[in-house]
Amino acid sequence: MFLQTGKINEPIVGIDLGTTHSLVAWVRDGIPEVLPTREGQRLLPSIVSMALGEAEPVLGYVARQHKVRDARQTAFSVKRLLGKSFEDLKNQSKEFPYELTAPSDGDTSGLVRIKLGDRTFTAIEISALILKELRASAEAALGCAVRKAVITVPAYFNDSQRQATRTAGRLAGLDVLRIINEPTAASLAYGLSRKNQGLIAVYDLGGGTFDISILRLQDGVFEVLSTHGNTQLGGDDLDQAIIQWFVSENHLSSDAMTIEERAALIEAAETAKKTLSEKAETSVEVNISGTLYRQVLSLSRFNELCRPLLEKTRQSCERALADAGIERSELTDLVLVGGPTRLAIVQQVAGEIFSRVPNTSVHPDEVVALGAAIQADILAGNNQELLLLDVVPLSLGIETYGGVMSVLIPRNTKVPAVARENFTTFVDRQTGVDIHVYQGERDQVSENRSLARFKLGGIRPAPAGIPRIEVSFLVDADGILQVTARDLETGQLQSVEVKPSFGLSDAEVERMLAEGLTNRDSDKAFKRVVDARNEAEPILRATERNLGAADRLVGQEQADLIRSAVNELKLAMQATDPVRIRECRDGLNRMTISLAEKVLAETLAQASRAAEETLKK
Amino acid sequence: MKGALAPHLCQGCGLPQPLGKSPRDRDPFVVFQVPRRFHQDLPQLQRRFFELSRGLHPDRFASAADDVRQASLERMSLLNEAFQLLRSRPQILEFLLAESGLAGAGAPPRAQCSDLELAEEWFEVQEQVLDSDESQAAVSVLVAFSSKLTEAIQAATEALASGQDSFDRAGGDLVAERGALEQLGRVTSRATTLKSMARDVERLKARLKLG
Repeated sequence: MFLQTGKINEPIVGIDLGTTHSLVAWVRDGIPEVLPTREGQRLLPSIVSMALGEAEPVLGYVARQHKVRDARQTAFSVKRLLGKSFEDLKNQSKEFPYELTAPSDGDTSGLVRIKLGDRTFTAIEISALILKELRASAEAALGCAVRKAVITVPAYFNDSQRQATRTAGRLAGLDVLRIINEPTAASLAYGLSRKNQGLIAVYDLGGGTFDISILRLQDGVFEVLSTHGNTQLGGDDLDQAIIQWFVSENHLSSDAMTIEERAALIEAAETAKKTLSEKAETSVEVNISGTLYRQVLSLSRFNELCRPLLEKTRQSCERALADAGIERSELTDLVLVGGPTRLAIVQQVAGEIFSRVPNTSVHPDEVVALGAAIQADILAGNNQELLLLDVVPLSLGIETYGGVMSVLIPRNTKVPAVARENFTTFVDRQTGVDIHVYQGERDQVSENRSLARFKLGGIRPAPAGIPRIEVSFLVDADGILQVTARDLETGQLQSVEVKPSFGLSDAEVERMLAEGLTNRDSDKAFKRVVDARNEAEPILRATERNLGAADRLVGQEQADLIRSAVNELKLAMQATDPVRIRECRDGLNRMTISLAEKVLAETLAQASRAAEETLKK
Repeated sequence: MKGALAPHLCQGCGLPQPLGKSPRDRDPFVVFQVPRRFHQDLPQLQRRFFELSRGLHPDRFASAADDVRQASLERMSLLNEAFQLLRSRPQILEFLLAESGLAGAGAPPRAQCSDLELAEEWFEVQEQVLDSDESQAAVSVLVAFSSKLTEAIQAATEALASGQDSFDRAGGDLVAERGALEQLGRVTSRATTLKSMARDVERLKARLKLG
């Protein structure tokens, strides 16, 4: 019976939810480190397979083996689908061997659905499965419950895509403390290890997205000056370039191919790309309609295929420099991030754009997760030295008369950012006003991304033009919009009803949580184990602390019994039976009552002796 | 407690306080505690921005109570807004004019003789160009007017700069500051009219393919 004094500090992990692979990291004693997956790897391929007849999905490297074999049941690169509608993707659907459909109500502007076998999922749900696996991996590695996380997104993700990521985290049972931008996270890990001052450009080419961010590092503050990018450009597109080359060289038609053949072709293209990061030549072999097609791909031909795609990053880089108000020559570092930056052609193009030799010293696959872990450590209050100041990537505005975009918060404004706008009524006794919010850089709202409709309700009935409602648009530190409205006459807050254009309503999220694709039973079971371990921990610690004095205080026989009870509890805590853990804990507790009493008595005796000594003096 | 942060934090608990209702609480010069002037010391502004950010940013209060997090969010977004404003003289001007009631609704009418003359001339030029079937003579009239307009805009820009200088020289003398602002208000309004006229000129030039 020892008093519990220690507080169990809950870990906050950093997660890189990537297009091709994902990983989780945390900070131990100030140093960020990658946590191994349950497969014993550092990376988790972002692949989810629903094998036929199986109730549970498989993920990671295991699922990767299904990518060709069970192409119809295996989802990958779903990050490219986050926050998108079927309508958005109709020209791209051939890039995905799995089937994409509109929601069951046939609304093609609703979130796209992924059909795996006889079940359909949103990209949010698939992402939630990946996050859940990472969470379980972290829990296994750390031996305690993990409920809080920082998740990274491409800097150029819009509000819907950020919301989708946050919802996925929620479905995976995570409290997402912060959404941070991938290049910013990378800069944290880069700057941390080098204590840099200076102006750095982070060129982040991932599996499906491209970001460029310009940052100023000064006195531990990481200040993002500007960011630009392309959420539909990444390593996957280099694979597609190989596929198109292969298809045209062999006079094939991708329309005529089966889903399995397309999956095999994607796989072959990926392998060829990887081989070409080390060798000067490779061959692409695919079996189509019973014929084996084989084609040699040289590095120089591959580079020619890639260059036009990579040249698309140039404009983004130039805009980012212009928005930051700096010249190329002022940059101190060009940092490359993301798997495809291993390719010599990518390093070459990036170097040409910025007229300097890129720094390839960071681990292109891991640096983002490590940065997310550092941000998690900052949020936990463990790191007072560093501070991240980020920006909103896209201009945010509202629709005004004639479908014109009226910008309220220009791109590259520092977040959190606020803008206020006054609204009034157009007809007498009007009680509601609709506000349609868009994100993008074009003058016409129709060419920008619809973000949400906000309905101001409960306006006091009055003649037209009399009510004055001040609406505040606030982009928070996650880059996500919050809208509040206030009646300027009465000072009363107005109700604001939100209809996201591309997202799940709160009710849908609740339903998904309740239906538990994400398997709540095993969650609960795991939580019981963790709780039992946490309960047993203090008594185990306290007993071990006093074990040295046990022989003297309670005799060797009793001390041996305590030692074996300690060992039993340790074994139980390594296993996963909460009942057994509690039994052993209670056993140890009973066994140590007399020891605890003796320790306490001795402590008191010492204290009173000390008091007497003091009195004598 | 550190000097610059003091007005933003509770003296007792050191946490960010909710913004008050007074306009002073939202005044960018008060937020940054820098002198009320157009010419700001930019390196000092940047250092102050970092110092204040460290004490107010939501990342510092991730696990605090809801009201503290809300106050941090409000204060930090206000800080970002003020930082942007103080680095831009046109934005400082807009703020000072609005604050003194010299811009927006309630601003005094200020038709300017020079504007009126230019406006009348512009109507004549347009008529000439359109009636004359875009003849060579009409084109040269347009070009001449255009360069006259450019000069007027240049003069207005210089007047804006010197008005800002004299505001800063007033150094807190309220009467002198008010005088400088009234002058600046008139120049701003003239500059706006001239620039909108210049856009019309460019449009007409484009129609005549004068580049």
